[in-house]
Amino acid sequence: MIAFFAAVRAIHFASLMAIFGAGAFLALLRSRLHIEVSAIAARILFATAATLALITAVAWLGLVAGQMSGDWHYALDPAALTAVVTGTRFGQVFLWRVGGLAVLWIACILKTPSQNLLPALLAAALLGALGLTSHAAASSGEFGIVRAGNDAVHLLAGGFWLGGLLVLAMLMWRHREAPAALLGPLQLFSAWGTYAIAALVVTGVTNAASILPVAAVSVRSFYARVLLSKVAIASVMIALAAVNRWRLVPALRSGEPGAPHDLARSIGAEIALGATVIAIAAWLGLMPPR
Amino acid sequence: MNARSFLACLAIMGFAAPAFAHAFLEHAAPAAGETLATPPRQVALAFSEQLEPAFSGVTVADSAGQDVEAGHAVVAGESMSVALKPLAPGTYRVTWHAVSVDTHRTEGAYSFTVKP
Repeated sequence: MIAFFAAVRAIHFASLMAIFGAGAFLALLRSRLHIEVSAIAARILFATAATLALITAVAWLGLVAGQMSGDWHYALDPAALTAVVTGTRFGQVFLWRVGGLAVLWIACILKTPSQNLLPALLAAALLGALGLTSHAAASSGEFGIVRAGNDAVHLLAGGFWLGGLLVLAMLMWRHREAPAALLGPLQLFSAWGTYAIAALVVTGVTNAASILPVAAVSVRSFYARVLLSKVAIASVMIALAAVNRWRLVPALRSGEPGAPHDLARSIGAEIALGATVIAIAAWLGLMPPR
Repeated sequence: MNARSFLACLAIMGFAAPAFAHAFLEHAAPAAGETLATPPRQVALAFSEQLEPAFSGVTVADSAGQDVEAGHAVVAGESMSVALKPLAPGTYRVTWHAVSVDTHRTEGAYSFTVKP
């Protein structure tokens, strides 16, 4: 059941990150390079992600009812669900959250979602609110707000990375016959992706420093080993991003025949690793740190 | 690798630890394993996080398993307490469960003794 709970959280995080990142990178592409992606592909991405975000939010409520009761059978118990919604801080935030997700869903279904910034802004707000309700909810005072802001920046930077990769994947498919058209988007993504990785590093350092006095994490604990595996996968992603930027994009520019294929494989691998990192983060959040 | 270099690695890798804040028991009166000359009037527990009253509580039972609380547990802020009936000499078991406001549940139990 913990695995299922972790999957629900992971899909929720990844959906909102994809909407924010894809929306933000599409806006950059439009304003800097006047490039659009296929309207149908973008619509499928936004509508699927918004639907998954809404479904997983509701599933999350049931799982929290089970978690709080200490018995997963209460996940579907009306009295327990009512007690969570009416009697806990999670429940109060949940009502606002579902309202925001419903607005996001409408924005992603009705409008051409890739051509306005509303979905990206709503997804950013919903990602930021995650930090407010988890970590910082329990820690008090100004320190809690700093940690919530730190979490929000980390989620948004990771979201830009993931969503941008999804947009690049769509463009690679669209321009598979003429890969030279990809040079502009790839260079734009590399430039902004560097800022995103820098933000991930800074917020990671801040977070590591902030948990130092709180949790005496032992390296031998299961928690620490899972944590280390996430660090390892994240560093492989950074290495792949560096290979893309400094080797594969120049190879594409000079017209090397294998370059488009290598780039496509590398971006696919980065997306898969990114999904794994999000899944591990979602799992770790359910685990006691000692 | 020690804990310091591990955390240094985390910092270098630029990776944010996930959200967690389980409510751990920080202080209990009577304390675990304590032997008291006079019977306590209540059990009071203090935790590391804010608690959800609807999902947190504490019960106290004698060695026969009979509950000896004199009312419902009162949960407020980071602490909970429960009033006790007059206790006869013997060993008593305190069983608590705590849900922090960020939804995590922790449970525990310990015993104390009232001297004859």
